[in-house]
Amino acid sequence: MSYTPFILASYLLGTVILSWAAFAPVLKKRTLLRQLKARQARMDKSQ
Amino acid sequence: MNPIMLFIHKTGSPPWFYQKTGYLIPWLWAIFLVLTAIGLYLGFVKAPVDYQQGTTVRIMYLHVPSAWMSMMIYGFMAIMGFIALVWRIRMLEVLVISSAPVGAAFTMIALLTGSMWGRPMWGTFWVWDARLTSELVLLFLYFGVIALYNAYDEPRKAARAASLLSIVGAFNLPIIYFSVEWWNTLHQGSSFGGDGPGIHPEMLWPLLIMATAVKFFYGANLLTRARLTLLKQDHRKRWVQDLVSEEH
Amino acid sequence: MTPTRKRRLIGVLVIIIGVGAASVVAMKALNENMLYFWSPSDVKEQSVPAGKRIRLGGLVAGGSVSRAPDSLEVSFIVTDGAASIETRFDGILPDLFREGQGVIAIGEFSREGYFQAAEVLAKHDENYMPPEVADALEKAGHTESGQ
Repeated sequence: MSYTPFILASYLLGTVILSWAAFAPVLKKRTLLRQLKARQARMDKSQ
Repeated sequence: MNPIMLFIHKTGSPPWFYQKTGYLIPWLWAIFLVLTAIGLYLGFVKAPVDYQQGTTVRIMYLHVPSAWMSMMIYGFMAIMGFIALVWRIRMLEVLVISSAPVGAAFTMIALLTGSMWGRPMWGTFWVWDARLTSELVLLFLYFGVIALYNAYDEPRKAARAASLLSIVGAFNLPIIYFSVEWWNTLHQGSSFGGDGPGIHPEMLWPLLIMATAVKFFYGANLLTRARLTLLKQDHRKRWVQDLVSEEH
Repeated sequence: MTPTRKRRLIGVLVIIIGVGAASVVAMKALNENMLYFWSPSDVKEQSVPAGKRIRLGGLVAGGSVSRAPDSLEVSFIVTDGAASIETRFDGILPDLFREGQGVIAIGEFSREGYFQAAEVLAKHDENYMPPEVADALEKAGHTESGQ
């Protein structure tokens, strides 16, 4: 049995999961800031 | 005011925390990347193959650090959760709930890479032995903490409930650690502190470097998540509004 | 249903499912699997009836492995030093299977008294070293059995 696929699969899974863990909050923060900015703009207009 | 209380008050102030961690996070990422590069180079290029397990031993450099992190993060959550519950320190509540997804990610990696290692060596992807089962329970506990936090509307209440579950679930940690001693398991015992030769130095170094690297990953990822949680919770507060208008 | 209520409902359901799954898993483990395998001595002491499915764990005795010439059938002795059990298996063995290695055989005792394994798993030890070091250790008199 060749072991290479198991080693590759391990590190691939590790990379995918860690990338998700690392980038998910960055993307969420970007979305949140955009929403807050839009809200601020609406409030400035109504004043 | 004594210096400890002063420090707690300062770090407990969301704008202060948000600003300072913003400077710190890139450094943590940089250290993580450098250590990972060194660890992988030593592990894949320099380290020898194992006398029994051949090249599959290279899975260890990801599997073991992830498994250690899965337990360490939960331990941190339990300790921070306890302090947060007793002294009502908001910053610690934020750190507890921001830790849970990182811990869950490491637990998933430990389980999946273990599976990828078990198939060629043991002859099976999964068995219900005490070590593997208790680690799976740890994953469910992380999911439980995340779900409990999201189930409440009021963030402070939600964080307190999540902290409580962190404390209760910490009873699983000694079970995971000692499972290989208390019961017959397919998983082998600990390589450290036994009578055997343990891990050869040329394999031990990449393992320890990778184990250090993932701690910096946790640090960087935890602070990133904590900042996001603060923004979400405080989105109507003055400091967040100031922050939003400053950015362009 | 308002979005808030929906979210609460989903949250509570997730908790129930999560805790439920965790308890099922824990119960499963506590009931029969906390001791993942029986040693040959356990088996001898408790006289396991033929046909009862168990996991037998121990070392493959040195010189006990014999393979059938024309099939995958293999027989070997599983021992823990104190007791030994003749085991037969018809299938593909894991790569780590060898004499002196720790194994877990899943199967049942036949009426004739040998253990018929349906599945064989290899157990390895907590020591990791390059082959040269293992050879040197063996020469120096350490036994390198895989338990």
